[in-house]
Amino acid sequence: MSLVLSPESWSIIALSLRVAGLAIAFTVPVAVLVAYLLATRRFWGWHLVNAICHLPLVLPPVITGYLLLQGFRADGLFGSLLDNFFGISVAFRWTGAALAASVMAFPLIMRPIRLAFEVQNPEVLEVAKTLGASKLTGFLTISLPLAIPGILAGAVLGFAKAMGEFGATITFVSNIPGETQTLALGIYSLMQTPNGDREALTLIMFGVLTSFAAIILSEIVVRGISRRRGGGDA
Amino acid sequence: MLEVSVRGSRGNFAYEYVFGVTEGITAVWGKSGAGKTTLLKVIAGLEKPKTGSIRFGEQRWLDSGTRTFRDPRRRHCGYVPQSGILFPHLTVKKNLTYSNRISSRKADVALETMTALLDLDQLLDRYPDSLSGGEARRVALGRAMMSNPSVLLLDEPFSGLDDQRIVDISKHILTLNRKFSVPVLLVTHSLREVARIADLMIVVSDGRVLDAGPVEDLLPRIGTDPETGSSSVLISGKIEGYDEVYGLNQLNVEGQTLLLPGGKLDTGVRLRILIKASEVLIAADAKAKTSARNHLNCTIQRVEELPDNRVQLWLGVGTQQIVSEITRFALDELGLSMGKQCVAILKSVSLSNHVFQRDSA
Repeated sequence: MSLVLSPESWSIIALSLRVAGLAIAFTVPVAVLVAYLLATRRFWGWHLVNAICHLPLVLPPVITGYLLLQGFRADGLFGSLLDNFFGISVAFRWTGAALAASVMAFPLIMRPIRLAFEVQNPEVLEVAKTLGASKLTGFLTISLPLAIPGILAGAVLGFAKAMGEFGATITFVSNIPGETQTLALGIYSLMQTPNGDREALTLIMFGVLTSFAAIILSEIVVRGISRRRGGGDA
Repeated sequence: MLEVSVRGSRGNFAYEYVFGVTEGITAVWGKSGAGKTTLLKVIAGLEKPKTGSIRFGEQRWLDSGTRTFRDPRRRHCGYVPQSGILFPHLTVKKNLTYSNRISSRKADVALETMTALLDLDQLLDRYPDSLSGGEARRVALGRAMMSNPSVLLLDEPFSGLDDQRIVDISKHILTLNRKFSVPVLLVTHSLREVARIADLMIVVSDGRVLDAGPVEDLLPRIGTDPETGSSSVLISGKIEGYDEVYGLNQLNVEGQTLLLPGGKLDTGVRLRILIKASEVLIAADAKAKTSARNHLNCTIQRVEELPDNRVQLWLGVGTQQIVSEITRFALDELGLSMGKQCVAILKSVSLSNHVFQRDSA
């Protein structure tokens, strides 16, 4: 069996990495902010925000994709806003695939980060305040660095999820080779193609390997950080 | 210098603190759950009372009348919570310099001076979790000091430390207080630690300040120590000599001499001894020959009845006071009563466990 990938497969992998990379770059900062608010504040509508954040986890991906399609088509509520203000269109574009991956990965990214904020001893921040730290300084110099293991764990989980996202993506931006055909969609297409099985298998192995590597890498990084600090706060 | 008069609640714990503090070391003493930590947090600005005022020197930190509330970061309190709580992701050195890096506060004292003073030189590159309990407390003290504090607020600075570490930390607290003349408020539940280190004390119970004043005045008023079930008092004196042959320090207390076994202390050093009522024997006159070498002539000032046919005698020694707990039988047998002279007998060995040096030297 040959593990040599065809140019088409390479382009599928490259696209998947691009989509997952954009999704993570966009989602992690948002997730950090939302996780921090959910972990440290009790505001009116807390449960509603929390539920919305977790919705993609339990909603059938087709429904998530459908909702994205309705919102982000050229004449949709968000689609027309994006188009008017930034001249961006995501419908049937690779950026749309990244958006779908972001939404689907969001709860997976946000949860470990929220946990990382929740386990922090609030007295650490109190001490920082008495030493002259403003709220923002306290967040940037204490809360955020202490949450790094959680942020990394969330990012890795989210990246793996974004790489393999299928249902919402195919519903939202369809399965266009070279534009929206990411890993899972590529495998799906190959399996529908006569003699495509072998090529599909190499893509599958690639998917398995990257997922493995991501999880092991994150474990190593998180351990490295907590060993340097002697653990306990991750 | 620090004047507090506030009222508020934290969850369903209501508090009302009224007291004043001068320079020196003030112990906030009370049982657990009495509201000692809340009192510190009120001063630090981490707990906002509903009404009242806090004045520190010329500064108004709180005034509910004019809706003044000074943010914790502008109060410059060196707050050290229980067990120190260092920043776990920063090295000891970065913990120490945190305040200087993130704010415009510049310490009056160089980092090298502070690390030498607190014996931290070997620890600078270590992370907090690799430190022992005593080391972590010293770093926390140093971190607070490097922020140029107007007052040090220490929450149970001795909890969880063994005796040697307690001696060590209290020596450092004394040094910081005397050398940099920064007033210290420290929370403790242990009368022994109050006796060891504090000049003033504030007695807290159920969210209220029951009593405040010099430790020597307050200890006799507090009555029973919940830890030992016995009354305790402090007497203080000055070292005036050393007996090389027997290894005994001579302590002058109101013109009388107490002998304290142990290493030689410098002449002139002031000591404070915590004396427990249960450890003081009474003789009717000085003729009794005993193995105890410490006899203090005193006058019975008050006889207090206790349960189980016990009595507590309050005895005047010059201007100071000690206390002895004996049975009513002994009281009657010896014919002791108010105004009579008697001799208080103290065992040197038991005394030496409760001797605290008052100078940082």
